[in-house]
Amino acid sequence: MTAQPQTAQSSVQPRRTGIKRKQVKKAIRQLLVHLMLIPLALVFMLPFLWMLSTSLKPDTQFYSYPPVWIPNPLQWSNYPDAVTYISFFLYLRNTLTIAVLATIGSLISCSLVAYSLARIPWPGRNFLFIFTVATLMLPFQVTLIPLFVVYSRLGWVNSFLPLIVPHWFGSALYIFLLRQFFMTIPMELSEAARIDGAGELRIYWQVILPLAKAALATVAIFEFIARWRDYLGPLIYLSNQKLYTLSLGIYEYRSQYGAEWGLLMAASVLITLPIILLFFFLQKTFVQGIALTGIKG
Amino acid sequence: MKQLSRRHFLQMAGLTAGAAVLAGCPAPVAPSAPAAEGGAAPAAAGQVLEAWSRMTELAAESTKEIIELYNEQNEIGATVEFVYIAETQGSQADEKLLTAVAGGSPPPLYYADRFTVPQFAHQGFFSDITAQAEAAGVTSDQYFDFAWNEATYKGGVYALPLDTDTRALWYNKEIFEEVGLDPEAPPTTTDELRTITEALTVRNASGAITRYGINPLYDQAWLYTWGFAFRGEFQDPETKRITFAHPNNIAAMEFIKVFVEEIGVEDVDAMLAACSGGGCDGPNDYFWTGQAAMVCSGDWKVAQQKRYKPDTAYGVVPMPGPDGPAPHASWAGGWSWCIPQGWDDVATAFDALYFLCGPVGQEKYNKDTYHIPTVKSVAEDPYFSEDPLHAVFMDLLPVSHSRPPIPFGSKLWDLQVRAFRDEIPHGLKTPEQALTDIDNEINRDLEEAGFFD
Amino acid sequence: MTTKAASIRPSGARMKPRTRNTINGLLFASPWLLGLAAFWIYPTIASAYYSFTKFNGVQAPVWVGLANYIKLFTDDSNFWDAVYNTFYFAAVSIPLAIILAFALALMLNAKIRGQVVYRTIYFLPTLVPEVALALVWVYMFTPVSGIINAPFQYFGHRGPCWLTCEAWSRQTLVLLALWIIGQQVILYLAGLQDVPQDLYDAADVDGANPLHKFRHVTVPIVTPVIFFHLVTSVIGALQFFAIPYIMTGGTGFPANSTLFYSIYMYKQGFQYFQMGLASAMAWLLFVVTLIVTLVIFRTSRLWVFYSGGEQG
Repeated sequence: MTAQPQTAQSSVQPRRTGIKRKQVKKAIRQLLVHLMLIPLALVFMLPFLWMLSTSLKPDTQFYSYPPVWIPNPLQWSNYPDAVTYISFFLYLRNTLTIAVLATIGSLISCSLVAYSLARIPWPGRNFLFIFTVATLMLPFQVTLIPLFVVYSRLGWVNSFLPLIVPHWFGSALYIFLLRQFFMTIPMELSEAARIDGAGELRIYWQVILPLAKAALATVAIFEFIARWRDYLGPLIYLSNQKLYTLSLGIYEYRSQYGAEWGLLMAASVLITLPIILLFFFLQKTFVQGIALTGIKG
Repeated sequence: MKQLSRRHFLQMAGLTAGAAVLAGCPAPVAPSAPAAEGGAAPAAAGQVLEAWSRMTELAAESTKEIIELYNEQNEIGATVEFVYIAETQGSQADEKLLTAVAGGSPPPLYYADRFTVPQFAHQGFFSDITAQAEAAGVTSDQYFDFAWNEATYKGGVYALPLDTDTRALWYNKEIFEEVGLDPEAPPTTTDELRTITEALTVRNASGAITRYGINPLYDQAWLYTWGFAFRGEFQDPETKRITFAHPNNIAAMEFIKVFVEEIGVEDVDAMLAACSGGGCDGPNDYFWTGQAAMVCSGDWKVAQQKRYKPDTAYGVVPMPGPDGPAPHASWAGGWSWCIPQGWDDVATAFDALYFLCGPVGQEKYNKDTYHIPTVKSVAEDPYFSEDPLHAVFMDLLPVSHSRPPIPFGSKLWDLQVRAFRDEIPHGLKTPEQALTDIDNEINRDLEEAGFFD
Repeated sequence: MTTKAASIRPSGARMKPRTRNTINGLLFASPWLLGLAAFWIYPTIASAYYSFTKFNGVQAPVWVGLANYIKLFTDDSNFWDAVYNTFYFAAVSIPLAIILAFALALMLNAKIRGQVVYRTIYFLPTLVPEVALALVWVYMFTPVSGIINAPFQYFGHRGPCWLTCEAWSRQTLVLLALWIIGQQVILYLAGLQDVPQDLYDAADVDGANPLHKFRHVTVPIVTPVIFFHLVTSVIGALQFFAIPYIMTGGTGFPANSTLFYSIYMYKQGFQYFQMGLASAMAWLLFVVTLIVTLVIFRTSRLWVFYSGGEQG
């Protein structure tokens, strides 16, 4: 009677310390990660913090020496002033329209093309892959004018079309990116689906896309940010202020000899917030991926 | 479909409006009549003319009001619409204009930095408006010479000047008093400038400057300014060749090299770096924050002073020269409106253009923005000399120079910036070498372009 | 089961797999093929043609043969400065970017408190609008009044001269480029989600140490991402444009050390209206980038591991 619990105890004891040691080890490891991440995080936060600080400064404290981190007084009025100084909400709506539509288009088209390059063994695919990457190598500066002429002939200038439609036909960068991720999904999964009678479209939709959520989220974030921040495209193709985007509007705070720095910074903070929110939401997909890709071929 | 019918409606409305005007005033009133009489009569009732401009703030508001006025008053039934175009880096690289002209969809009216006009004209980006200007009775003697020269190229008119600016020495009287200098005795010679600068300079423990007497490479103190101060010349009036290596320009740059060394190259660079990217525009200007006691700058600072530092006492005097005050150091820049190539109905666009840049538009624009007019009769208005500081800049108008109006203005500007802020102060080249290199490069380009023919 | 499925899809049953794959491949790629035809072919051929002409962007191009190329190679010191700066930047920044992005992603993938917050912070600099970012950076790196040199000033030293002197300017730009590495970190994070937990478990059973697990489990699985990052950063670094342009206005100051290839090309095209010369520069860059990329593609068979079961 007494011996039994003892043996039970003695057998539990080392295991417990083992768990404890493991926990301590884990805690130390976590602490180390924190210790490495925190100082670097401060560095990476600096630009945004400085922007935030400046967005609350009165006109003249921007370049003060020594630097002012906490403005005195806090000029909260920069924010309401910033959104009334330019047609902020109109520009916001335009920017959102372009960014959302272009992102949806990119996700659909790029994943289809990447599927072709990564999952269907057809003769021309390696060539098309290299060709696709090669299209990235010609700098935009020299195709700007001929490309404008193309859109001009199509009658698309001064509308959102040149800023949205091309993205529904795929972007080399994201095709490349998705192709890399699609390549890592075991071929056996496709084979199994084919044996079950699934067509390519179904395999693409039901097998590959769910397994590539993290990659798709990455593309969504990249493309959304790229369109959100695009300056040259809207500058060249839009000539009607009612169609302008935030990236153009932000220049309205500047003038020939000066600038409304406080307002510009306040607007920059406001422009940044929606993407931070988007990022927060999409982050979940970066954790979910683990459970799904636990299948190894 | 909907758009079509709306445009159709607008055209109809415009036609009727135009007809009504014609019917209402059988004898056209003098000022805007000439345009209608000239060669190709404007035939664009109801036309909407986009006016592309990077103006913001006051300048944009004023221009919009002038446009409203024009839209109400003009007798050809045209409607001008102000379109803000985001500012790219500086005024010289313009992918927006270039793509629009190349794509065959140029705006009828375009706001251009005037010193780039000869270059854009040479490239064929702007329309020749000589005939329209003559028809409207516009003559060169209405405008200041320096402004008119920049708006013309090889005898043709390619733009009408809008405003201008001049350059002088600003100084902060309170800092002068603080260090025991007479606030009414600003430097008049370059030697005095050096002594006073030393007296005004404050350094911290590391030896770095926290208050500059003056940064001789900052703001409007360019190679041109110092060269003109030393009575240098940048273009041969006869041969039209570029003459940066003029002995007086070399002397000016030798002075600059010594002066910068006295102040400390590192400190001069530090301030320039802080201000690259427009960071020191407006309220952050080292001069307004009191981190610079003197600065070579322009008349636009008068309006800024009223806004940012209304309670501080400032003075403005002509730039100091090697042997006394050098009002001739001032050079005048400014902007203009023009008609890009490819816009067919030049006559109609010119009607609006002349309203913007003629006496009517100029008076309102320059009064609203407190810039300096380029139409002589408007500049005579006492309004522009009421403010004692602004009066100094007005007085500089007759002696002000302009940059050489050549078709490579942008490249020349880049080269002079590089020589002035980099090669000469850092000793990469001797002043003579740096200036000779500029001449060689630009004159060769001019030769190739047939500029001297 | 198989025969039943095949009979349901009669078209598929009649075709050889090879033909069917070709048709499917082309169908799936069709948006891109159409896009290339509509928006890529003309501008590309046009710019290639312009490179053999004198062309200001607007007026009709005039054929000049190889003159633009010859001028670049024989009579343009700026060109060679730009080439040097660009290669320097690529050679220094690419390895650093890969190491830093990968390392950050590993740390941000660790299951720690505040993971989401950390990730957001590292991503933040890539979100700030360029106008604001340029200004903030200019300010931060200002040698005297900037916040980065403030500690130096406090101890009576000047601190580094950053963008104002040739000794530091190139390195400073590398530093700035690393600052906006957030997107690449996200990429590696996405790649790390592909590492199957059972591989780690298997390694644990084998008694592998963390370093061993990293080398033999994590790295191989992430190689497709490294490959992507390497190729795109070669392309991106050789076209490095935005940061130096917004920081210096494209002046090349000091001593031409911040004049990059794309900046010089842009100035030639849109500031000096030498679109023919700019196009020649673009095509030279294209050829060089293509060669480097093809070499990377060739070697990829040796080190890129696709768990899908194919060779890259």
